[in-house]
Amino acid sequence: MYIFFAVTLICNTVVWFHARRLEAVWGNVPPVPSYSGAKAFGLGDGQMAYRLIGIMLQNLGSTGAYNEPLMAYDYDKIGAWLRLGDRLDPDSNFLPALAAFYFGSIKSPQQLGIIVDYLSDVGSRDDGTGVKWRWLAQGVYLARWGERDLPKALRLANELSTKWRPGRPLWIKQMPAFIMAASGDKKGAYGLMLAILKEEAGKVQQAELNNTIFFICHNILEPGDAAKNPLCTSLPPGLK
Amino acid sequence: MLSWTLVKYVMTAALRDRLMFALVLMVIVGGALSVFLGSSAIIEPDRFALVFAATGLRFAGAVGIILFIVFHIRRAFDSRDVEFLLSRPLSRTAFICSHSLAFSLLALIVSGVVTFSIFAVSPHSNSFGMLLWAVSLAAEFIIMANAALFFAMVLPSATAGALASIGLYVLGRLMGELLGIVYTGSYSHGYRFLALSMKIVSLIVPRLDLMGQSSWLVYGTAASTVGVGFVLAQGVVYSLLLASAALIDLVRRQF
Repeated sequence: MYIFFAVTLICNTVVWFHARRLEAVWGNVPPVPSYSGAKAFGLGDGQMAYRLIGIMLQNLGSTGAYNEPLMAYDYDKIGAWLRLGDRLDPDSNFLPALAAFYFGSIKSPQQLGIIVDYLSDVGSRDDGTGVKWRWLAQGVYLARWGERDLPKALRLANELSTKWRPGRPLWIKQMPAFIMAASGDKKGAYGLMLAILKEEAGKVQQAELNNTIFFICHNILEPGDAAKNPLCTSLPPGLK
Repeated sequence: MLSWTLVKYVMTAALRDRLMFALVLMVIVGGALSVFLGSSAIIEPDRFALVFAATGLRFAGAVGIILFIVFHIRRAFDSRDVEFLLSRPLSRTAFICSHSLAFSLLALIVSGVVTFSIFAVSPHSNSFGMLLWAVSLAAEFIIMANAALFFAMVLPSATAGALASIGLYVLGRLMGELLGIVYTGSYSHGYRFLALSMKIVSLIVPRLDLMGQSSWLVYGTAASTVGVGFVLAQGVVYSLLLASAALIDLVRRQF
């Protein structure tokens, strides 16, 4: 009996010698299940499935001792997981936040495009009551500075401007002008900012109007033109 | 029809079996683990903790009830307690009705403790959503208590009874998805027979996927297709079905 125990112990040690060097291997982003399959993941509870997917995506790439860089991720699958999560819970802001501030920090325009498309789809659903417009704004930002795709940024900015409601920051409405100014369409940007100024005068805080005039005078107009423009000369001394 | 002594006997057995102690331990460990896991989320950690606690404790509570009931009944058969009880002036109907009532009361207590712990994890969650969730959890646990009673009476082994009950629970939780696949017709012709079988099976499987939805706790019940009426009706209908099936089995049994 003791000999048998000793033999099994030796066998166990042999197995250990083989297994001790085997480590968790990064298998990249897992395949995306169907909507029904994902709900089964949460035992029929869609909200649980959403939260499990959220935690899984947040910790993806961490294989114990190693952490994979974002550029190694299969972003097509990341996009599919994000959209699946969006079907499971269209109201939560967890996955959009993860997409905007974590997956959106990738430098490659191809990979970033998937994230921008997702964010713009989520932001487009803004019904005027929540904060979904923020994800559209984030999409504009990533398209402008990450993808460097100004036509796309302008398209998204135009959509964002339709989401403006009283009580929301005025820059939502001004976003197309910012992109126009960046892409060289100074005339268009000037016209839009001027129209907003006229429309919102007396309705929004003076600080918002001052900020608009400041942008016109410092980012749209050339210094010579700004010096002659009555708008710029009317600015308080600290903003000139 | 009912024997209050037997009801009291079952409740005492639950206390002696340390079911309540295990329940409190489960709630503390489950709640703490959910808060720990939820706090790792970059935003909405309170919602993560709430959903993890609600879903985890719901499953753990159902499994706890099933295991206690199945092992209690099988032990009663093995130690000949059932034969002894039936030799007293106690009808078989009273035996089943008393056990069904006692187990339903236990299920109610477990669901109450789980609901209280969920409220403790997130006291600011939607109040009507919490109410509907609590009522549906109680109904679900009562259904599963009667299902465990039925399987424990019908199957000769405690392990088989427990596995069958847990299998029914999982099937009930997945029934919505399975029926969804059947009704959308997204399967090949070869699976038509299976689809038909699933439709027939769904007749006698409770729709547990419609109960205890954690989205009620997070967003309320405005978008829900299920109300208190459905939850209570399903609880009563399935509990009666399962208890009467257990009664038929006991009446036909030869000792």
